[in-house]
Amino acid sequence: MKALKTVGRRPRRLDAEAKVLGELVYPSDRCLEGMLWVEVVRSAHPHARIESVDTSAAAAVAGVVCVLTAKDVPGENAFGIQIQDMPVLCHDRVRYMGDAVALVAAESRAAAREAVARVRVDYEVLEPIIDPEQAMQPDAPALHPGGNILHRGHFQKGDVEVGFKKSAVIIERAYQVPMMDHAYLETEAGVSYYDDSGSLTVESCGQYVYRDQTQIARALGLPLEKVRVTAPYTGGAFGGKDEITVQIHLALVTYHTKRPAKMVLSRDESIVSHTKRHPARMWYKTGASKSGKLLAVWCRLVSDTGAYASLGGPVLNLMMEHCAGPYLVPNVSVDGFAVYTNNGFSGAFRGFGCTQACVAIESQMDLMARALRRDPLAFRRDNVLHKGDRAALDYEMKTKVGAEATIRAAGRGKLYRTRGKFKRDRSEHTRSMAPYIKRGVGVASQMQGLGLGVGLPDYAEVELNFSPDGAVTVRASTSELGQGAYTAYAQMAAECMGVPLEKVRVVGADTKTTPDSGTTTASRTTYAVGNAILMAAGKLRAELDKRAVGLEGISVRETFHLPVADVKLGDGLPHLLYSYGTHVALVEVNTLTGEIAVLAVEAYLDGGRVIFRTGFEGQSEGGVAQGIGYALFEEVLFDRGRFLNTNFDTYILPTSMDVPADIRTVPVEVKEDTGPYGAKGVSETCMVGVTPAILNALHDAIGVRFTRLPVRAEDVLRAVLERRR
Amino acid sequence: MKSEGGPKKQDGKQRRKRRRAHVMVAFIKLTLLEAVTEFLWSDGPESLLIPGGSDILVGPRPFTDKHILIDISQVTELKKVTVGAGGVLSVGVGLTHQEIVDHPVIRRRARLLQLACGRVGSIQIRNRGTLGGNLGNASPAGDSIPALACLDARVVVAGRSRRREFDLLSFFTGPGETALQVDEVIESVQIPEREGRSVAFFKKAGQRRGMCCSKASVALLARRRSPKSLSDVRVALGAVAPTVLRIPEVEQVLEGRRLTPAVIREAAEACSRAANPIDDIRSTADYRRQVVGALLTEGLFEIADHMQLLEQRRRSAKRRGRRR
Repeated sequence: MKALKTVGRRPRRLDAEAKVLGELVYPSDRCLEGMLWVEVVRSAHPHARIESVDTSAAAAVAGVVCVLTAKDVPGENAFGIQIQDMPVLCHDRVRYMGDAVALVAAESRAAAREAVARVRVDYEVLEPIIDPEQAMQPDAPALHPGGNILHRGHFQKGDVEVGFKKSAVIIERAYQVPMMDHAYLETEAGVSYYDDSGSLTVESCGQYVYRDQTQIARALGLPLEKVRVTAPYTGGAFGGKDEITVQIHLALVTYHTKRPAKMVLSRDESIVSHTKRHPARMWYKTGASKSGKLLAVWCRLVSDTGAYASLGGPVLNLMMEHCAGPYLVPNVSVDGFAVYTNNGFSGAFRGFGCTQACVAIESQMDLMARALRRDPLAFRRDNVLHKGDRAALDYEMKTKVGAEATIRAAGRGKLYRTRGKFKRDRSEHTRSMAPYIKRGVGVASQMQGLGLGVGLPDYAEVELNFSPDGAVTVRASTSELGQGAYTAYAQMAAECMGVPLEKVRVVGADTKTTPDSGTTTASRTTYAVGNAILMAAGKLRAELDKRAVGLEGISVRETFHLPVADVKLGDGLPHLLYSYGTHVALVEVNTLTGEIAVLAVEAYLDGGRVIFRTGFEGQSEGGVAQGIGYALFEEVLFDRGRFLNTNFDTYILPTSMDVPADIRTVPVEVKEDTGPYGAKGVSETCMVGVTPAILNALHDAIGVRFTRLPVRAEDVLRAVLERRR
Repeated sequence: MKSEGGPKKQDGKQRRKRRRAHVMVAFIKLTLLEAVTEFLWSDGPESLLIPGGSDILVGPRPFTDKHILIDISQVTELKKVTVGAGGVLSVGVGLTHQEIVDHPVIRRRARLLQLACGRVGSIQIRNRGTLGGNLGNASPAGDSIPALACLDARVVVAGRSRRREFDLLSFFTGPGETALQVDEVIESVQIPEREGRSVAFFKKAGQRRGMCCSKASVALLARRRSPKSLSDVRVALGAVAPTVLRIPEVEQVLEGRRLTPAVIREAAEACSRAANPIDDIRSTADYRRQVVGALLTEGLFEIADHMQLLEQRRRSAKRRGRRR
């Protein structure tokens, strides 16, 4: 194969200069002449019936242009990616604290806020449903017409009872993981206006402009072509902007007032209103033979989807799909439930169900290795899936499986190889010599489905233009969320068109000027858009051979359809392609105060061939920080459906002081045959394994197994004192 | 340096409402202490002093459109550090935490204060927040307060043509409450000179390492009496009671005794017994009670190690001297 010139290297990000100089315009930066500020009246209760809404006092506030309620929604007053069960503006009932009851648009933000306080809503307060187990009972009051179970699944492979009978070691544990906020830097924001051609335009922060367009058009009763949505650059998303946030509200105000409008959520409002990572409870029973072969995995997974569906069903599907990790298990039984409650609202978040399942299965794997007195990495390696094996839900793994390669690479890594030295030697990563400081090294391995999975439309169309001056323009509708995808697109376009990177421009996320490239989610964009770029480049080169380049240049479009599994077990279930990863973490525990420090993390990631190396490492380092947050700090707290911590003073994120300087990211490039240059994706794999690796390291350090996240100093100290007794 | 005129802390529900409303306020900057006291004398109840603004800019705003915000960050008289009669160190409370950490005179005379100020929040907060703000906020978790309590500091407040002085701990009357009148401003803290070689530590437990508010904190100051024991021991605890506490029980346990593990354990237990903490969103009462003992233990072990090291050095120096 020809040596690659651009792919796999470390070019400067396309947006680096604009971002460093502060010139890049994010949705919250946009200001338009004569624009109105929009503020939302949100529910005062986690669960209540709306008796009446009186907007007269609000409308009378100086500067207020309109106050809109449910009756002002001209189309279908409902949205949702999969099931449209969430009202744009609630008319009869509220189901969580973030529910929107009315909108205020005013000449100034101050006036809009003043008016929000004057909208009078009379509620009949209802008992909030806060426990998913109780919500599932047949006599529980139903939050939605179909009852409180949004989705359930049961899968079986072999016979777990037989597996457990043969097992020499059986481990049973219950795990609990919290609701997690995406904590993107930029809160949900956008502007709306009528463009020159009369299209109602929303410039916003979404992750899929074409779906946002559909959802807006449906709610406003407009034809699709009358709605335009753009979202090229956003200050972080992680799945939290996949669902509609401000888009329909903005469009509604412009629709009624014919004026431009702007919305930026405050942090408190953002945390209360947008989708979160599903809190879940997971019961696991796993068994292995004396020789260290996994024989059975039984689990029951209950995920709390909160007030509305969003992607609660598919998230549960992925949780079930990945319930046994990247391992070959002959006997599996899994039951999953996604349940409606009044605990906020959950949806997509980096890892998408795998994150939760990985915490549980990787803890189980460690406990089994311990019980069998086996090396935890060797135990994993001996049970790992290979191409041709049948996965947990009993379908064949048909593409290359990089799990073993990442495990072996981790075993060769400095941290694992010399873990004994790291645990004893205080000169490296020194904090204290004291005997009450304990150290531990933990590992975790995982796989992560790439793309939306079988049964969901998953394709990417791109347009490639070659201009007379030799410049190449890539048009794709995915968004740049900070991950660096546009740079990877440009690298691939430069490589296959044989032009220098400086000649490539990427135009993104605009329903008017870019073709539908699908969602910016599911670790899919480099793979899907990259493939479409390669196809279009082939066609473009053929065109260039045939004819001269005119003044407008030559444009071609191509659509890549993601290959899917040949079985269908559910929506998005299963996947054909997976990314793999193994993480190693070194932690230090102060057994006097219970404080935990993560000293070093090594990440061995198989995302196929790496296209944009700096972006790959950036993803990994961000993933480590987020994984530490999930393990040790982050949890959205509730009191009977009411949020307790809605800002970053009490919702605790890791800071630069809490994330180790020593993060080593090693690409394990198992080249994917169907991938562009052999690439897959890495944006979720890089985070998911970090959390269980830390839990396993904690066990190694102090001999205590934590099954509830986040693990706080309080929990450590309680456990240490209990052991001493 | 919150003026008493500002509304008291509100419960969560009211606070949320308050946050929604946009407020236009008058804002002035004064650079002379006299101007500040003069202003407070005429408009005290409506004014709110802003020494650094690290709380007021981000927190739930404790003011309405009736308020006048007075920026006092540039009042030079509040930034003075002097050593007066009898060796009393006077530290102007307008100094930021970082200025205190970097100050050579404070280093020599009140190292403990530097240790505590160096642990406040984050580098950004230390660069803006001041000692005066920390005292005026009167949070039981204010990191400078246990250190000043050990240093036997006195607080000087200035009004129009009058000055009052308080013993540090009597200045605080409850969480968020001080003896400061509406027409007064905190001017300085007075730290008496100490004889002999001091040992000191400040330890805190927080929810994370960076940008962190104390769940519990311990400050200790003592004199090294012999190679193995301490005298004149002072211990103060933060965030485990409505105000910062001095703990004489612990001080007595340690006074003059060798720092053996048994003595350290006894002191830690006394420390935990003296704490009177609460459950809140940051931590639990149980943890706070245990961790003050743990922090004291950690600090005392470090001191014991350090003293042992010094003793070894002294002995080997002696041996070398004899050989010569």
